[in-house]
Amino acid sequence: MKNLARAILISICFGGVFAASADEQKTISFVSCPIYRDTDAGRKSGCWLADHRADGIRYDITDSQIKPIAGREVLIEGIVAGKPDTCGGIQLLPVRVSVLPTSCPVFLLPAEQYKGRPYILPAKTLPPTFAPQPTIAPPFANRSYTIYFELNSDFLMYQHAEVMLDEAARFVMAAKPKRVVITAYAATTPVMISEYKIVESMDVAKRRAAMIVEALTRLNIPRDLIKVETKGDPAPDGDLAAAGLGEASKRRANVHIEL
Amino acid sequence: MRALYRWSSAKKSTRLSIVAAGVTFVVASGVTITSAAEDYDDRWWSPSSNRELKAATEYRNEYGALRTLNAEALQTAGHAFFTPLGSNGRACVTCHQPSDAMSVSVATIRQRWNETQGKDPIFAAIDGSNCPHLPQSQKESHSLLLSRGLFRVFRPWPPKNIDGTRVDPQFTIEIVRDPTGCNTHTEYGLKSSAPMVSVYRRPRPVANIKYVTSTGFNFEPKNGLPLQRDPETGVMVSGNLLADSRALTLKAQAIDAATVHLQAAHPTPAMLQQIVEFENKVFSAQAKDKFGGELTAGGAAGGPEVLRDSLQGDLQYGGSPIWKEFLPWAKPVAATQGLSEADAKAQKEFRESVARGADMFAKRTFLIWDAAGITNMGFGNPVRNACAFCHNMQRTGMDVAPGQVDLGTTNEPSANASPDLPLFKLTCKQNYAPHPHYGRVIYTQDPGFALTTGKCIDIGKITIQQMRGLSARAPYFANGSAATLREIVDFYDRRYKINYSEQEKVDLVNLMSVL
Repeated sequence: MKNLARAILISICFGGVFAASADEQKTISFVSCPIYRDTDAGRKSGCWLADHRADGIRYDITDSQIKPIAGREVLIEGIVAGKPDTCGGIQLLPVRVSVLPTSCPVFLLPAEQYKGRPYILPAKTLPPTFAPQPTIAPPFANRSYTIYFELNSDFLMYQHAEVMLDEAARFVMAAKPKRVVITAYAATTPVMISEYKIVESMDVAKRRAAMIVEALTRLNIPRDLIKVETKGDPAPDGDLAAAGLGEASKRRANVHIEL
Repeated sequence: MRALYRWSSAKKSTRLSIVAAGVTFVVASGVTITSAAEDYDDRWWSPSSNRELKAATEYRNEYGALRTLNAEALQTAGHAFFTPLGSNGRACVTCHQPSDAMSVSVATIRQRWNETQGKDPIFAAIDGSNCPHLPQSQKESHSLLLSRGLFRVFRPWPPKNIDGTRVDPQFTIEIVRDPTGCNTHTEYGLKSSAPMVSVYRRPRPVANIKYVTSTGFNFEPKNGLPLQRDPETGVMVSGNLLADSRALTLKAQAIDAATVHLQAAHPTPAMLQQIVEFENKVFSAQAKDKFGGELTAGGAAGGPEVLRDSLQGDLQYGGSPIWKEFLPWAKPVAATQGLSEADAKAQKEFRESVARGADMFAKRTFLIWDAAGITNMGFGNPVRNACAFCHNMQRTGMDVAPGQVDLGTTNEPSANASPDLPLFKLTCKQNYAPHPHYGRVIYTQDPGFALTTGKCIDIGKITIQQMRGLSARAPYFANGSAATLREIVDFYDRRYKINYSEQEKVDLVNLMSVL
């Protein structure tokens, strides 16, 4: 309860401090056991929280694209959002959650005084198959798509990877490029986060590449058009890096379409 | 008294006893209800019978009447769907009866046993008995079919891909319990020369098929990949055929059914074309309710016609919730003409109950736990949502994505205790990730989708099936573990600790009864 009060206090105090300017961003990375708070602001509106064990602050990690699995530790990488506390923790946004194999106690909190936040559909989603399919019109130029992954995962994230790959395939169909280069990365340089060694093997990069090849070929991109590269220890890149989540941005693959 | 039954489960026995007595009576809706026995000869479609399947046929059931539509009247003589194609005398229609929403209810199966002393081809040894080695004349040898409406489905072990190549499974399989003796049998079992895993499942309705085969989006969010394609045509497929998605197309399903269940040779292209064309033209749904009356009355849009005429594959959402067809009944509407005051009141109350059930199905949220296929793909475990989260396709309640989800109907500990079903111990190998919710060792009565993919994550996943025609085809769930509509609601209530009120349970049952 003390921690909760402290978190609320900090959240209120920091509400005006972290106004999300790039200079003031505070990147938070830690491993913890997720807590589900059963708020009900409609479907998919429950809150996810996690306590930073080193400083005792409770963070709101609800906005991660991948939500935790109760009873499994999570790696959390996020930026303090400076937004009002609706869940009982300092909101991180953007925030990335990777579900780890290590188990921990399942813990649920009631909603208490928190309302949670209604689920908001991402701005870009797949078009339904019965609707007119979007087309990509010329003029065409080389394009790249960046697809991010969880730690040690090759899972193509719902409402992220599928949107990218669907558009990439449409572009390939329209622009008829010379080749499609898939460069899949693994974050092979270890970093210590909350006393956990966070590192990926090159095998993860290979699995990520294989998943993207499988996805593109299922979308009717000829296999012989696709060139595959796998690399370790990448530099931070893409939207996540720009947002301040450099380490998380290393777990990615790029689909580069060359005309 | 009858009219009140649907609002009180305690009156169930009263209601059933009325039906069993074979009494003909007219209830609130004006629908004439007779016992099943009185129209039995018209209900059962025997293979090779030369009959006309009309463009629209109604069949009475416990809750009212089902209507099955065919695109045009059809003479069944010589038609591949209605003709035995193999050695055991069965046709497709044997297990896909127009009176039973193109499935077959356990009540119908029991009736066939009584009428034929177990000689009907539906009881064929291959899968209409618990195992072919059992004495086929004995009722006990067919206990799973007679008690739960379950047919034996035997899958190769290790699994095979669609193209026949071997799948390297991520788990080992051991037999813990084998009450039918089939999984340990020297000829039919896991250690036979052609190793098989026998599980027991209900036949799915062969109606409203355009919904079953429709694709909502071109990706499968549960595994992150685009949908699979029909190897023949290259067209993306829904992945929603069969409990374990072992066939991707109607044609492949027909071949599987003919060669396995009908013990036939590979059907000819002409036969397959006739079967598939017929299947695509059949629509079936409850059309009348004893208390609610015509399901198109009072602004409602029930019945099979709307299924035939509507777009398939569209996703429900807040502005267009699933089962909105019945929401007009939430407002006062004129009762069926000629009803007594008491029956009009009962009709009003029933319709309002259905509307509440529809609203609740879309909006009443609860915590969904440990349902692989849903809770491991990024939504979180648990995730707060409603029935419509998974049952999200308008007009059928299917999943617009390939709907393989572990509801807990077959995996322990949430599966109902079932001493009559086999139990398997599946152990995920060390070089693969364990199951996200169960760990490395999983006990299951039916590995489901994992018997197709060989993946740990797919253990116990069963493809979500359509919810139309439920009144005509009890029992429910792929393993027949819910004998009644009420037991479906009770299962979910237990599984997800929803704490439905008695009224909410009744409202959901009433909703399902009119689908």
